[in-house]
Amino acid sequence: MGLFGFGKTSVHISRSIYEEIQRHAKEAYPNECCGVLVGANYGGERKIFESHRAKNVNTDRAHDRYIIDPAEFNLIDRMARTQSMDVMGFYHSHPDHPDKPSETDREWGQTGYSYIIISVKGGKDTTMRSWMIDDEDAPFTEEKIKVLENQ
Amino acid sequence: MSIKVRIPTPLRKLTNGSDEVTAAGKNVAEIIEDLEKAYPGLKERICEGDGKLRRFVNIYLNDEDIRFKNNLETELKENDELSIIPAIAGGAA
Repeated sequence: MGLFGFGKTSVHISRSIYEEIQRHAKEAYPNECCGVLVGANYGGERKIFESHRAKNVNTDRAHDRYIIDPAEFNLIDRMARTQSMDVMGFYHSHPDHPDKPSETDREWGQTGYSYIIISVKGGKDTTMRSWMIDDEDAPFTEEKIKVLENQ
Repeated sequence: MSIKVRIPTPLRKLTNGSDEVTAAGKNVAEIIEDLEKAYPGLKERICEGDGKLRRFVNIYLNDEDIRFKNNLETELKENDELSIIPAIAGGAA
């Protein structure tokens, strides 16, 4: 794995969910948005079937920090299980910052989840990349986002 | 008493991939001790050295955070479900 290479996994996401995440990031600007991604894992291909907007409970520093309400995470996880799905990861925005994990992201990062980061410049222009941590002491590595066009 | 425990993705390496396991105990602390016997290493991912919950971890009893109940001493009933919920946080700076 080179410094700028991709990890072993890829995350597959429909155009409509991709656009919903962008929309959430723009609406939340200049604050950070966050949400939960639900789907399933097919041998390293992580497919996202649903995105759920979550409350950013870090109200003191909502412009550059986020905390997903754990009660919402628990509820979404319980709903996902009833449909034989799982929480695959999370998204959050970086207002006027790059779509790369910060030191704070790494400090709090959990292994095995996809973390999609949306950069929002001036509330309008967005880019997004997905990141994952394989082992507890490892850095984030980038995963490819494959956008599936809606039929 | 046997209780179902939901294991989140980051801890499944320690439960041989299982996303749900069962453990015995009459309160949350006893469940964690029982989990540690079956899955060594799990306790230190949930608790600090002094036995308190780690700040990166939340435990829900059904749909309530045990920090708002009696914490690790929270008593359990038949058919209760525990979920270990990792803290998800970060941000641009």
